[in-house]
Amino acid sequence: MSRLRYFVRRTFITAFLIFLVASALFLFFRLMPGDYTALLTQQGMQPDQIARLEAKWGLNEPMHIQYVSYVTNLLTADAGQSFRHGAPVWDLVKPRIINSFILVAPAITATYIIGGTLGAVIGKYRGGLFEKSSIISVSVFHSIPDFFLGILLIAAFSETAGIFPTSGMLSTRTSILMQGEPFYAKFFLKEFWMHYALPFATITLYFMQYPALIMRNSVVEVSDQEFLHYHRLKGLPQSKLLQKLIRHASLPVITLYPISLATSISGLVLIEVVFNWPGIGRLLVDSVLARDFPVIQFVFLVAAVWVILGNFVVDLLYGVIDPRVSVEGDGE
Amino acid sequence: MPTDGKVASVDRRRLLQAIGAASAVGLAGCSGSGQDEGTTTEQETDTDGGDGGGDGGDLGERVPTLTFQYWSDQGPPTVLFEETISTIQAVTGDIGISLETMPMTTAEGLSAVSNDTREFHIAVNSHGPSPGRLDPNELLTNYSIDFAGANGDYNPSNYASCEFSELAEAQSTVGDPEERQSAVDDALSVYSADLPFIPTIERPTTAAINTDQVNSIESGAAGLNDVHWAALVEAGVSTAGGTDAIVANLPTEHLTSSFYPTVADGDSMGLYTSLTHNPLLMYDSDYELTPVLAEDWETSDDGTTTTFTLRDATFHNGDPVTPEDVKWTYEFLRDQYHDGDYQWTSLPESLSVEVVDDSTVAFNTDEAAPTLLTASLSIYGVLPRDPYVNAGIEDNPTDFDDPMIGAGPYRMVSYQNQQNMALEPHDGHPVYSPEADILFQLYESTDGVTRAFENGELNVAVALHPEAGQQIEESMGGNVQIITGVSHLPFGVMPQMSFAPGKFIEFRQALSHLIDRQNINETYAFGESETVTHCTFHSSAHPWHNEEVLTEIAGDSADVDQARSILEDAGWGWDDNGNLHYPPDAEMEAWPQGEEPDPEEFPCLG
Repeated sequence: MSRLRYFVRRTFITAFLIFLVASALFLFFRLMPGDYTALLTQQGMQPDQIARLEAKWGLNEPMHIQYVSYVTNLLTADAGQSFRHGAPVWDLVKPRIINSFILVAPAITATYIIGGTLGAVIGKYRGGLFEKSSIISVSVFHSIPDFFLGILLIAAFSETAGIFPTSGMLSTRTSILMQGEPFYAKFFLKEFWMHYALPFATITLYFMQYPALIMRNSVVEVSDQEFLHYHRLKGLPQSKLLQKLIRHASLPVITLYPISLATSISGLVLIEVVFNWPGIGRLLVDSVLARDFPVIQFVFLVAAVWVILGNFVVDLLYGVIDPRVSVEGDGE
Repeated sequence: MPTDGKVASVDRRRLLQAIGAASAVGLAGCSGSGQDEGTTTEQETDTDGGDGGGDGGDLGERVPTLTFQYWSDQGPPTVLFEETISTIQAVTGDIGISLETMPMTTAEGLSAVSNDTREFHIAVNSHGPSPGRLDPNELLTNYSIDFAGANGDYNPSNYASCEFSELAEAQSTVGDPEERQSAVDDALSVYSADLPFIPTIERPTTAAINTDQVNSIESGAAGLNDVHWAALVEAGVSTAGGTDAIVANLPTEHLTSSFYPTVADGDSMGLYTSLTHNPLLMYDSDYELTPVLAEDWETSDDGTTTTFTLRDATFHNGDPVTPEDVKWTYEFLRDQYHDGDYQWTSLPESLSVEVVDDSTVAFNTDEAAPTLLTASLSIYGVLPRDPYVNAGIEDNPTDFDDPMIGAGPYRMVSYQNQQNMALEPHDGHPVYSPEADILFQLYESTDGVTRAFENGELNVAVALHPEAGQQIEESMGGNVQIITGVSHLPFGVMPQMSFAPGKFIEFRQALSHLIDRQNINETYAFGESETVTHCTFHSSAHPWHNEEVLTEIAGDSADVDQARSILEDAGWGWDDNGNLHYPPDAEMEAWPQGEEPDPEEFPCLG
């Protein structure tokens, strides 16, 4: 199979997967007990009003009609209208995706750089106190629930030391003043970075275990491989040897990085809640509690698409990262 | 005296049963709580010779493990629900029953009750304190027999009583306020004796003000909370210590894409009504109706016309508030409610608003509309016609660019959906003169609010758990004012009356005696709330509360002996292992599962 055919085939499979996920989301949310109108009932809305809203939202239509309009709308980039907020779902979700990305992408990237470096060092100099203390440290940080780690950092650095604010992306006043500015304008404010520090540190410390331990094991494994002995016997300088070791050992970590990035964007709900970070996770919690199906479906879909595309990109880049990896029939 | 209530209940029922026996129209089916008849029969059988009582002789079916459902997604109230179940669980062994819990989301729980699915025996939750429930009509309607059974309508206990339902309906058309109070009292008297809702403690409200940054305020019984901000505007709140603005939190549900009720929800309206979009009259911090944009009002004797004299007031864009604006606002909302998308305030279909002169408007209806003032005009603010029409509200009421102009004491200067909102004082308000800007920031977590307040990022915190109030007081000492109040609806327990054991009045009475209200008050509210020992869905601060007509249902503490005695007197018994049993041959269902109350059993449905 040529690389082009492989690429086209993977693209179709990816698109089909996304379609399957979208359909499954539609089905699962319709099968779940309870709905948004039940909340309206609790607030006192009368049955005839609810019936009218259901008609307006199309909830009184048969399931297959709802499904067809759902898929049709998605294909035309219309994610529907939030029951609860009365706004287009995309308008609600878009700024949240950006906010989550701003937090997660640099934090996960930093995690892999710092964790990978740490793993390489403890793999190279294994057996000592440094290795033991490093492994224990990253394991302890990961064994604490992420939200609780966040609360501990707030208690230490906000409430006790008074260095960082407890929550938000900016102070309320600054956030209001920045309304209408491009999203990147906040990056030039010191205040943003002060708000950023603790959630960033929480994610970095929590996820450090993966790259550190995988890199350590990989370094240990690659150190014993014959090609390194060959280079050593060739008299290659130590720095060059180390470079080759790290290059080969980092492959599993590099493979894991985009997958971690993809899964974490939707998996940091509690960190966003603890730090009152206006990201996609917080919106998801609100929407789940309110049974706001259009928003939940779309957020889940975005998260699923993110993961699927992450895997797609990793698959395609495998061959580039590691020349030993080839598609079936490659080179025939 | 707890027993007084029971005696009163039995007397009334027996009287109606006597009428029923002698009446060809079968009024027995309207005996206040039709579900109780099976038990009463058994009680009589028992008295006639059975020995089912406490000696383990003639026993009915064993009472199964009782499932207590509660809403798991309500924030601080969920803690209260769990603690309520814990206090009951502590004594259920003494009465021979076991208990299990079933957490559900609010939506799931409401759906299960509305469809009478009978997945649980008792619902431990609450009536949401939406502003419209400051008038009793809505909850009286919800508890009516038309809403009971598997019909998708929400009757919190599936309570089916013809007597109550007829009285509940009657009060809704009484125009004279004093006569209506009497009609409401009659309905609530029957309700209270039948015990479809077992209140526990008042729902406390807790707020905190950092007095280094904001000057302290006086508040009425309502306190200061996320749906009722009257205390803030009444006090003309101002900043202190060089602080340039008040920064307060809001729960996430409040900032929707528009304040307009075709888009916003019931809770949000309390915020806007208090601060930015004042109505003609509104509830103050003592839950009393007070004139705001109207100077005064007068209702005709037959209740069909209410005439308002307007004050000199201006909207936030500088335009005067005119009778034409008032007419347009409420007639448009009337049309939206009956034919369109307006969701919350039930304006009468026959409502017409007449411009009498430059400062007078008259609201006319074909029949008396007693809830017009108390549940409609006081809840939703007056809008300026032209800006809203120009924004396209008439063409598309659910999707227009909301100009967010009202005539409240605060003017909106910034609004970011689902993030924050900035308000500044509006000079043209005829009653209130606030001094400081208010910035609202949405917070997802109540713990996050506490941390932000303690760290100085917020200087007003609302919707706090009582424990958080105490924690803040301890950590900040004299620099904080804790404002406690009482919501207009209390917490409580809703036994499902469509099937056993909730269908039996004696079980509901016994359950009420098993609740240690004082303990709940101490553990949840740190003693800051009040126990509720009379059956009602109103709090003591509710404007329609009248304790004289209510039945006392328990004391402050749990009384297991009293609970056992009530059950024993009604023919319930215990086996040798101490397990509680129903009376022999007790009917287990008030109506079959999946169905609605039977018109043959409940003649008012015929």
